[in-house]
Amino acid sequence: MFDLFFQYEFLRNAFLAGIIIGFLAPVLGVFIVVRRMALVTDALSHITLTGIAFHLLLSQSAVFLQAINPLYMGMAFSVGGSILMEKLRHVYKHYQEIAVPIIMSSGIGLGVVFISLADGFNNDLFNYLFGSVLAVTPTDLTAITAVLVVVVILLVLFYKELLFLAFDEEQAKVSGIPNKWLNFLFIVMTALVIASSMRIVGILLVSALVTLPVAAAIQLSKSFKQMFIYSIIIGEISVISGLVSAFYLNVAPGGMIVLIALGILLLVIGGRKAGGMGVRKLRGRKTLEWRKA
Amino acid sequence: MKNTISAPASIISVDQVSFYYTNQPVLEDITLHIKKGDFLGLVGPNGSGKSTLVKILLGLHAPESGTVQLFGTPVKKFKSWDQIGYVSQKANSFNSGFPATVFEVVAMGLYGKIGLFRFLGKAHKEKIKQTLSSVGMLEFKDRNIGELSGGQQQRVFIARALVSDPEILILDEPTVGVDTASVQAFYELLSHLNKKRGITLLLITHDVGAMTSYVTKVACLNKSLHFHGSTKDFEESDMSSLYGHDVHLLTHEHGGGGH
Repeated sequence: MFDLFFQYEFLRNAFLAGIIIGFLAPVLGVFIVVRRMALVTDALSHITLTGIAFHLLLSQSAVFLQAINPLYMGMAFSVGGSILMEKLRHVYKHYQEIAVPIIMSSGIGLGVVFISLADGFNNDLFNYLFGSVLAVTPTDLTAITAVLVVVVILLVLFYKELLFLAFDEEQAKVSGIPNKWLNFLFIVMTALVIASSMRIVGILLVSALVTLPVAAAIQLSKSFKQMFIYSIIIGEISVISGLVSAFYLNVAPGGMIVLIALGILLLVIGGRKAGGMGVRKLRGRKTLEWRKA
Repeated sequence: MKNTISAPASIISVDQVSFYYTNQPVLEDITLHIKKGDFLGLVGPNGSGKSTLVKILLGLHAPESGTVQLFGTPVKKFKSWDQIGYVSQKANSFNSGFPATVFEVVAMGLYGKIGLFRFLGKAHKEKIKQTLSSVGMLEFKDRNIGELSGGQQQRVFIARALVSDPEILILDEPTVGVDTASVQAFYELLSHLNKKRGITLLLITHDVGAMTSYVTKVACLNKSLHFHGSTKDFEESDMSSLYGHDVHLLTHEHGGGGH
């Protein structure tokens, strides 16, 4: 059943993009989840839509823009939104989470205005909302590959600093880790990954791909390294089987991918509950406490 | 091991430091010098400004007036943070669901020293194991940090602070959330680090009782410094004036009950 995916170029594009996203979203998701920033991804994905709607509106009058992938405008808006969010967090020191709905609702509000100015919803926009196997163009694939290369290099270079910041920001700061610009770098990376994920899963479901595999992995992992391995495995299984099944069932891939990731999460939670007692005895842990998270 | 206290140089110098929080004085005119080899207990009731003072020492807050020097360098210009090991109050209330092993947590203590764009090498891994062994936690190295007891976690955080070979260890309320039996063993460990390895210690606590049998110097803080000297000269009357009611100190010997 995979034959078709290699015969047709558009399917191959979707497949390759899916594999990249199935890797990138959970990897960054590990940091996002342990930093308790899961909701931030939602806000950033909505502001990405605003950027895309803005591009579609502009390209009606500025024809040269039609040759440019709207994804880049989406990325620019997402990065801009992430910077604004960081600023807002400093304005509301005691209510930091308020930055999320402010950015999210202004993103949607602005996006809706752009969309209606651009003569309302068309099929293209629908694909951005829920993802599409057919919509991944060669230029999308180029953009996604570029994001992959940049994000992987940055993660390898700054792995230890990002881990320390996620575990204990104050302590990291006292150890001389440059927390301010690393936080900034991290949120920019998040913005880029979110923007690249939306061709496959769609804006409304990006945060699911960032959080669901990690939520399952956190139940299984003892070390931070294991978190990455489990998250990537679960992310790839969800994306690949989601794409294939969406193609054959003729439904939006975003929905299938999320449903499969959700299924895995439920299996893991169920499995741990059923096997919890046995595992505890086997490993001889005396003080194992059920994680509160 | 090294223990050269021949010419005691100030590791931390605090001179006439004041700090206000929305016009409320938190610290007033604090002058405090910590010399090499000191084991200083900084005590004071809740809200006396202890933690604020520590944050100023570490450059996390800037004082309203006065100066802070670390190893003779103004705190703003200080760069050798690996010389200072810090175990924060929050270390006890960290996210216990965080999926990291004891080894991974202690490795973090080396990250600042290793520097950007460099990775954990074989020598570093050896150092981590050696440090874990020195706090008696080597056998736990592959365990998840959240599975350990409060006392064990505290030893891991000490190891994290020690792994970069600091000159001074700053501990902010390290025994909160640690059971009584472990507290004594914990103080023994600190005393050992101070005497045998020559590590300078600054211990911040509101628990005057147990502490006075281990530290060599005491500073009492309640917005301003009420006492600063050796443990021997420290009187119950000093404490009573600080806390505003009678406080009974323990004998200056190991063991004994609470106050």
